[in-house]
Amino acid sequence: MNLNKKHVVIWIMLLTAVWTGNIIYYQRHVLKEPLFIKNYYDIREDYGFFRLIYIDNINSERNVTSIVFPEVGSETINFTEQDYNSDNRYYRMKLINVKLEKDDNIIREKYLNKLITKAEVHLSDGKVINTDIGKIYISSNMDDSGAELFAAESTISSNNNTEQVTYRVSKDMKILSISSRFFEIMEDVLDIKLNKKPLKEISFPMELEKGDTLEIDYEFKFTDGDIRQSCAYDFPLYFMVEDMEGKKESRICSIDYWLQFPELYDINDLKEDRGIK
Amino acid sequence: MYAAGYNNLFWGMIFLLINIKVGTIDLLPNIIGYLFFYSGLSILSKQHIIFKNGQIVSLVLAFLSLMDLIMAMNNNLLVQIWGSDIKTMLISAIAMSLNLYLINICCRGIYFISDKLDNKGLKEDAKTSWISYFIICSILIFFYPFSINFHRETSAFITIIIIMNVIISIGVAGMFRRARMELGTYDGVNSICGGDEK
Repeated sequence: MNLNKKHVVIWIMLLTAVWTGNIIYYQRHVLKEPLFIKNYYDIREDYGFFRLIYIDNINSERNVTSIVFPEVGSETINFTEQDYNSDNRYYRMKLINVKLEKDDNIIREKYLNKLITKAEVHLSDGKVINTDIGKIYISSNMDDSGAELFAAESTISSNNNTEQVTYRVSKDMKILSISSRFFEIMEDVLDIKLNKKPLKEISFPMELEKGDTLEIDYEFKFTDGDIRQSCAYDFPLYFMVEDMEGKKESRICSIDYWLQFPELYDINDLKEDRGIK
Repeated sequence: MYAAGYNNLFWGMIFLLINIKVGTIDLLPNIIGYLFFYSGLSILSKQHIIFKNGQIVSLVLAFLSLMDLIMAMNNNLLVQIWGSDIKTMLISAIAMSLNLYLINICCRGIYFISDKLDNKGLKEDAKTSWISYFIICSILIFFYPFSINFHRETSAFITIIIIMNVIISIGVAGMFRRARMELGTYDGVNSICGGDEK
């Protein structure tokens, strides 16, 4: 029952080593400042808001106090902040819902048809960070005049950011082309199929008759280490369509992707992309 | 005459065992448990000198518990066990280690007194209580630093260890109760002091 001093010393040294190792390992995961996700948005004016996402330490008590988009103006924008998900380990996701003021037309017009790539974020701990937020474009005139040509019948979405939308064609028509603001960024990772046929294999114009279904599938296929998988996307595919009278119109089908849990983001890749150690 | 001392050890153990919280406020705070230990060991130090070592330890633990109580009252519900910052966890780790030493002192004292009185049952009880308490507390103490890096779902298995800790602590409290009945009236001052038993 006596305590052996040598054993006590070994026990204390072992405990100290275990604590030291775990603290060092934990500190390697601590973020010095919040990590804002890059967004590729091409959104309609009447959405009313868009979403910014950032990741911070799970125990962090700091929050965002004001945001300025210097490319638009020097005034702060209206927003609300909410806790979203945590990984129950190191990180917590937070969402910033940026409000496009409906009553203050001056601020609203400043946002329209401008490309927003940077944000100046003021935090409650006094820090100010200037961060790249991707490419956000708010369109005042998103042409969906062809909406009556094919209407959505059903949508199947899954939580791995794939979606299938089935449309019913209401008139004989041709799809002349498909375009998107961000195609050049996404074309190697965004797998789009029309009626189960990959987009690359489709010859335009694609003819459809009244009563036909048009199934549009999309899936993001990122390889490991591709920083683009840690971005958020919300943009339309513009279908240029022509009816049998020769009238050309546009139809919009939306593409949406964002990772909803912090453990799905590669934090080291994000830090490297931002130049943060 | 020493029954009250062992009784205080028993109640100290009960206060450490039972945590009834309303929000972040512990209705049976550990500080009271350690003050019971201090009081009990003050009485028992006249029976065996080994208990004197435990007095300082129990006072230090009472102080650490007070700090913990104040921090808990200032924390919001999000900063609980898994959300505690590193500083709080380090203080808790020191407290857990000192607590282990305190129980060792109590068990050793009972062991040596039982040995002198040739009370084999209580002597074995003290030894078994100490060994099981040491093993289970060591697992908890060594797991604690890993908990800051483990996924919290995988840490759920520690619930089993915590339950075992409660069961073994009840056994230790029971052993203190038994010591109260079997050693409480024994005046050991002149008979028991021995340098190699400190």
